Amino acid sequence: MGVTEQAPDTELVLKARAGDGPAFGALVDRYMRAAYVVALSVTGRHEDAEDAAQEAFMVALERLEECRSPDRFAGWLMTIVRNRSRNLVRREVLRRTDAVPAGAPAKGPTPERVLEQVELEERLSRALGELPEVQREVVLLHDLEGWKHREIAEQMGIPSGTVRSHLHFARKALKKGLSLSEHRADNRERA
Amino acid sequence: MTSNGRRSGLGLHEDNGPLGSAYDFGTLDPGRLDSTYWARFRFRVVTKAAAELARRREMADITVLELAQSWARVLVPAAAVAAAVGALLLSQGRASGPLAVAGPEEVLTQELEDRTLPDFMALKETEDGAFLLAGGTY
Repeated sequence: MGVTEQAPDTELVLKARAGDGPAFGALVDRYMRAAYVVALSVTGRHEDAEDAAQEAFMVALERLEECRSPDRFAGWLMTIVRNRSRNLVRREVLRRTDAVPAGAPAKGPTPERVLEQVELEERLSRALGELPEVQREVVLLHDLEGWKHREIAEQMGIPSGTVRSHLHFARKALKKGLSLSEHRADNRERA
Repeated sequence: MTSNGRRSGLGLHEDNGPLGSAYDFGTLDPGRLDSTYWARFRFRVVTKAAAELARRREMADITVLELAQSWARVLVPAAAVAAAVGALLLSQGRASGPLAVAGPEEVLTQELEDRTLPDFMALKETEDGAFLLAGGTY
């Protein structure tokens, strides 16, 4: 791991402001997954989440001077991600197209494995879709991206206890939603 | 999907989820079935950012250069003018001989006549040149 990868956000942001490519690359490395997760929690679609996350990085770079607290770059970036994602959703409402399964494989996994993954993903996406946006973001950042309560709280600007509460209710709702989904699938198979 | 060495999937975090491993959130990770996904994602972002980064580098260079130039634009003519004025004053001073330096007391008493008030009051109007020039009356 190089010096740039280990550098604090503040240093990377200041360097990126001066046009330092490796510093910006390190920021992308550090936050691309979180940006994708936050975008996914808003859009609910892989393609849109990908577009919104990528766009957000470009917008962030263009507006780096507006990031007044570089040590809080993550929170600032996620706000941009959320806004871009919401804009994308508004646009998508106007020109809705059929969803393509996320993460279509180039090679490797068997068709059965892919199908299984896609089914799981669809169930989970449906259940996640039932959650309020804030709960979706919390549960994805925590359970998919591995952020800690404190980190999510800082990024979202809410108390850590609220994050725990959102996580609790999100999981409860997901469990219920996934159980129902599984039950329906079993019934269809029996029929 | 992980970042900075974070681990993904339910059951691996500080408080385990109640959903079970069958519903691992990792299924939502586009990198799960395509190991090059995140590398490509990063590449696309960094490639798109290249122009903006280059512009920023250019701006940073221009800013330093322009700062130096703007200082030079103001300071060089001002210094030249100051030097010319200084040289002129010096040359004039030398032409008229050494400057007489007067102390504070000398300055206060310079050109004052040693006259007392009674002397001054005793002067006749015609003897006071200043009065005659002013054309007034006492």
